[in-house]
Amino acid sequence: MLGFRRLSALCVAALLLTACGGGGNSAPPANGPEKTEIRIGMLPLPEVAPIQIAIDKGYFTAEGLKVQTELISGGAAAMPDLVSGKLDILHSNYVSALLASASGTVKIKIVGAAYTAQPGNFLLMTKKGSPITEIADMKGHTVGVNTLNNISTLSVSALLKTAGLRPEDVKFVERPFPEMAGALDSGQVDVALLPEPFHQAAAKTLGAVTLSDIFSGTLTDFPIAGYLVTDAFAQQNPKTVAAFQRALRKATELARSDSTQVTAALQKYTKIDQATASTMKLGGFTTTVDPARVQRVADLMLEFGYLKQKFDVSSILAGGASG
Amino acid sequence: MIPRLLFRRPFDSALFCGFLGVTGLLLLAEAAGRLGLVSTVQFPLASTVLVAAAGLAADPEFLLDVGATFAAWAMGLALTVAVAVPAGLLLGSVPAVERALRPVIEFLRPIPSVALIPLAAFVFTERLDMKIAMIMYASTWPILINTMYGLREVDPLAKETLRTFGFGRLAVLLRVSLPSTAPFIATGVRVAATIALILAISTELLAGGSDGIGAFIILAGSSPDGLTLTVAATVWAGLLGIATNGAFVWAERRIFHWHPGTAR
Amino acid sequence: MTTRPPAPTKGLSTRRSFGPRVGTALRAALSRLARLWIVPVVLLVWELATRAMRHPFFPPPSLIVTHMRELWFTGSPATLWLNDTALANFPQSLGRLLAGWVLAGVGGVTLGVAIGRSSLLYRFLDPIIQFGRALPAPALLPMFLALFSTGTRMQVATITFGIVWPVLFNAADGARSVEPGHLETARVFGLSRGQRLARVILPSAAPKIFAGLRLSLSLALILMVIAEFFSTEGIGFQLRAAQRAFDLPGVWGAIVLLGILGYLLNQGFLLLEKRALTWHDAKM
Repeated sequence: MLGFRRLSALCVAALLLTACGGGGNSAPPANGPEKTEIRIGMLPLPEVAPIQIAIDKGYFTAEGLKVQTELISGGAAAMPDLVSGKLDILHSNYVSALLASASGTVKIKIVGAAYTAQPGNFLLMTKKGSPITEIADMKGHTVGVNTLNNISTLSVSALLKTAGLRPEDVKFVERPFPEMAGALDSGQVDVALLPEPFHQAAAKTLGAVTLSDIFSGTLTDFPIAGYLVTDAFAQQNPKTVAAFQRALRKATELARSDSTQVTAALQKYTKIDQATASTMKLGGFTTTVDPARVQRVADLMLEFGYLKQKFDVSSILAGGASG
Repeated sequence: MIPRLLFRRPFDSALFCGFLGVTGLLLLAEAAGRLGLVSTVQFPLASTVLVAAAGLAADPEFLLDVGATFAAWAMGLALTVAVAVPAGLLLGSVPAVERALRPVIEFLRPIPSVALIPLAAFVFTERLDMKIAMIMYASTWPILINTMYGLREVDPLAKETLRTFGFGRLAVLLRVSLPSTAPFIATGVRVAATIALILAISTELLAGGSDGIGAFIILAGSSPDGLTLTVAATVWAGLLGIATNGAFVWAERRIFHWHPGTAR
Repeated sequence: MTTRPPAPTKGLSTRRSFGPRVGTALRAALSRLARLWIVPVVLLVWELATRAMRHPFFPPPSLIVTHMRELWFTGSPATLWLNDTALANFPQSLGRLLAGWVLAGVGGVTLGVAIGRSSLLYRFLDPIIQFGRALPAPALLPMFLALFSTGTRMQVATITFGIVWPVLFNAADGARSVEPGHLETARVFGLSRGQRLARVILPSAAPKIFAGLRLSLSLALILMVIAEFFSTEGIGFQLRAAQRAFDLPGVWGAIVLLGILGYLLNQGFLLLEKRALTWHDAKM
């Protein structure tokens, strides 16, 4: 029992510290960023390559920022880390970000864009010889996604709508990307939503077939993920945020113009090997947040019941995010 | 000792038998994959996993991850012992306190620490603190309960004798109760050590971080070969478990060789 | 077994008159209730502390309870006030938990007694067992998904694997420390192997086995939550869904529910154990 008491004392102490110590940094230089050491939480996905590029090329250092990256297990799961100050900046998909803001439990700002889906980035795949050959065939089947209630389920729901189906007409199940090929093979899922490089691997090892290039046609330029800070952080550290935005933009431009930079960066923060990395299309690195597109995500979320009421995206866009 | 190990019947050697057991299991797993009982897309072959696990041993980044997990484990376990043993002594020797707190303990004990991770993530501002707190929450219980049970088994005659010699309650606790409870505490610590390791890795896996075996598993998720890497990392987690457990058993035997309860 | 205190004899109480007996029963009930004084105290402190903090992540218990009611307890009294959401999740979770526990009990006792009685088998299996029990369950999910597909079978397998160890170790310990004299006597009286197992080994290992079963039951709740990570229903899934939707009172509600469930399971088990052990004492 003593254990718990001491622990709760520790908790309270930790709480007080977070409450009082927000952004409490030692005297910053006159015109430099308020907080110079920042921790960025990110998933080991190709879409955050510009962060690694900015570190390697010294873009962050040039802006007076010392950046440390940490791995997270998911945008939603890491939101508490952002709030408690373990992370200063969080890479998160927009659905989790909007859900978090709309719930009122956390106040966040989107400070930058990470990725906008391009054709070939995400594929809906089936097993070789599957009877499912068009979207309408998905009715009554199981769809594997990496996370429920997230950008994957939302985009598949939007795709289903184009074929006159409702999300309830399919059954979504959750499976990590590396296990999805196995789940397809054994029939645990009938359709899987796979990003690069997993869909290339599934096609190679299983002969998996593409059912739909989901982010083409009506869903083209679908915004996937961005970078978040807490509202308080944005208010207390405007120069840090601006410095981060400048460095990120510079790295993103390099990533867009020179794919070898991306391939090199992937070797550093993911376990994707060189050969696989070079087969990837990518190309969706985004320099600015497009408010209209993110608003479309929010509207889709309202339509499919993720949100209870209309959410105005502009309220959580930080200055400088939309260029 | 060595000639005995070599020249007696081989089935008397724990090492030899254990080796045969492990080899047998590995062959079985390999056969299941080769014969198509388990699809290799779904789960890698035993040989593939072993090769990957061997590769990890030469990967300096993975070794750093193992070191980070091990450090969190050691700190968490040490703190747990420092808190749970005195708490167990208090609860075991003052029945009124034990009676009062029992409902709270019985309520808190079954709450899964994995369920507490999202809440802990809000509270702790440092990842290491959070890992240690999660370890403490889960591994306190076996130590606490074993300490309490151990106190119950203390020879009342020895306590009475010391009391008649005019020793106070605390002196009796320190001179009689604590030494005779020690083997029970040791067993509790050994059980807690395994739980602590599991919690360290689970917390890293579910809450993220920059290092640790759990963080490595998140990283492995970025690759289509992620499953093989994950299983290989899990193998190392298991080996770490064997090593720590072995160390505790060895220490227990050396320290409590006089105690009948430590036959293993 | 020999140290167990004798059960109180019935003769004493039957001689008393009716009145005092009700009185004692009432007093006993009251004193049992009084032992729970800490519960309202903790709740009150919790309520006051969270109200003072006004932190969105730490809702006061009153709010948690109201939220739990809305979520799960708006049904009719016929279903214990459980509503459709609760009925679609609780029984499944509990069923899997109990199935996993029973399987772990049977498997753990069988294997435990076997390695407790055969040192050769123990030498063969010890490294595998030590390895198995150090594996973190969340990392094992892929293996169980591969072997058992998704759904109830996989979840029961995960629970069983995760909780079998305490039963196994305790059963092995118990079986190993059977008094050789008792076994010798049984042999002299011509008891067969099966009879020796049922009459001597199992009864003498029973207290340890029960201690292991009790530990496993608490563990089963933890494993149930982990096993439901990739499922689409169950209490663990509800917790995860609440977490995903940033429904903090919902997260707390699920945690409180798990605590209550664990408490009830433990109390139920103690009742069962009392019965089983007194029955077996009476038989001895």
